[in-house]
Amino acid sequence: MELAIETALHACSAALIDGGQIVAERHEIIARGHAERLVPLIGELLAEAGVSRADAVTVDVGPGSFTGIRVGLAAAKAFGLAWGAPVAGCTSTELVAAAVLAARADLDGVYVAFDASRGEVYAQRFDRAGAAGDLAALPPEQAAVAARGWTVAGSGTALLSAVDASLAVVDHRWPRAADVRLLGARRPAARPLYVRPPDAKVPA
Amino acid sequence: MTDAPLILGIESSCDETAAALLRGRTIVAQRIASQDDAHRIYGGVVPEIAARAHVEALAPMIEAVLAEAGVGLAEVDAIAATAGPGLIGGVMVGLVTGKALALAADKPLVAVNHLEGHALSPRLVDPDLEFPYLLLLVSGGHCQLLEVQGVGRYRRLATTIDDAVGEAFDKVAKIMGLGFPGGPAVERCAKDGNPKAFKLPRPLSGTDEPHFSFAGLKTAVLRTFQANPHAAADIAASFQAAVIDCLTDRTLKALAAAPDVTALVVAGGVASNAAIRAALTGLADARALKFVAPPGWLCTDNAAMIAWAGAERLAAGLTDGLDAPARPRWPLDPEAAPARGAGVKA
Ligand SMILES: Nc1ncnc2c1ncn2[C@@H]1O[C@H](COP(=O)(O)OP(=O)(O)OP(=O)(O)O)[C@@H](O)[C@H]1O
Repeated sequence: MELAIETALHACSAALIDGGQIVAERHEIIARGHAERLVPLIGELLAEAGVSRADAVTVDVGPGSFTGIRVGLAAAKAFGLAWGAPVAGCTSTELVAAAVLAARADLDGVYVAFDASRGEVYAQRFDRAGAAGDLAALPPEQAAVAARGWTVAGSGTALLSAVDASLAVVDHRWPRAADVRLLGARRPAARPLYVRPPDAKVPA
Repeated sequence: MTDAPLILGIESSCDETAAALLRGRTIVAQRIASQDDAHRIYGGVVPEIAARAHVEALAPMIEAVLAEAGVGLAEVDAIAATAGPGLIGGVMVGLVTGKALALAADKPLVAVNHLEGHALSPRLVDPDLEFPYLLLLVSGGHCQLLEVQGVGRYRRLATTIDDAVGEAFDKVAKIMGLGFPGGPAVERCAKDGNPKAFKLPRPLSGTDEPHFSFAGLKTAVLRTFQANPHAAADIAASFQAAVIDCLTDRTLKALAAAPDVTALVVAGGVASNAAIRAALTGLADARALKFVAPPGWLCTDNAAMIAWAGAERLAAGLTDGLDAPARPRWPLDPEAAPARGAGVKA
């Protein structure tokens, strides 16, 4: 049994997955309050599944809100510690890419973009074989050019469409914890993927 | 004592990551990782840098503390985590960690007010300290006088209307280029100085208003240093003397408003200042009050005090749900009348 956690963006999302099947799932679009909602939500999952532990934990390590990334990571590491379970990481972009490609057999790939605020998007291109491009924070203008010829998904879709109305899009805004079941079995250890450095200026 | 519950304490509300295991008044194991080095070049704590460091350090630290004590989570009786007030990104890391451990190990959670950690910490080291006592809480973010009536029961008698006293020490250190964190640097510098060298203001001292104010004192230090750039030691000593006068004047006023207290307690990072301790000891002695100042390590942020507050709350039947909020602001006495200009530091 695997516990998947995703709190990097607007969703507070968790799932218990066994043998590639969803055993129990919660996916709530709450935008804020992850630190309050996440652990009770996982409590509901465990109760619903009638289990007291999972054997592995996978957590979305970003990109997304720095706070949301940390809420997920802190919980994942604590569950890993308590259960003696390994804690792996996946990314927000790969979760959306995996979901879109699973739902749309006609697509060869997908361009995933999330609103990163400050006039940028977090963006990454995927083809069916996996990540086909680097993850970066870009202005939507630049991302729209990179996305040409691809179908766009993620919460940043509208920002890209505003620049280039001809882009093909799918409506899949937020990553979902249960989609961890669609990812490959080999996963890296969980490390935060902030993309941007902290806001801090050395005084003159 | 082996019957006392075993409490895991977690602290991450500012720039120390800390975990401790406490049984009764015995610290079974504890670790503290200070982030001073990471923040030094910025001249102050950068919240995002702090939060990133907490999430990196906390889980391995808890594991190390459990290993050192030779216990598993199953043997822990409750998890106490700071839920505020403080830098919210860091608070969330510690609180969510505590919640997840509590759920996974099926243990009660105590969401601890960091200030209550400071307020009750003297009882961790002094079993004879009874309620009610007068607490002078002096830290980087707070400067308050509170009547501690019992666990969870506080009456605020005074707070700062501008800077906290630790903040004043830090700003003075910055003005004179003494380094970060400022408190110990100013104290060291003051050792070689003459406390009467410069006449500095004692804001609000002697007034009917019970509160503290340090902004004017800080500005006076700035002006004095600009005029006397080679007199750092004398300025530091004069500043410290002014702070001491403010603290004792306000403490006497609070004692008049809380006649039932039998002890004066000082806590918070600034309580590690030896000159301030000496002055307060003298004040308490003169009034035949017991004086308690926790040891220096217990005055700055640590997890043992959080575990202790957790133990006191658990004993009082005060535990929290896993939806307990992370709170950037959380006054100990929510009923206290707002002090003019106090804002965050109320
Ligand atoms: N020897 C000292 N003399 C004066 N001030 C000191 C001394 N040692 C530490 N301080 C001050 O204490 C403060 C740190 O204390 P502490 O860690 O309790 O506070 P904090 O975590 O910044 O604030 P809070 O606990 O209110 O959130 C700093 O402002 C520091 O300059």
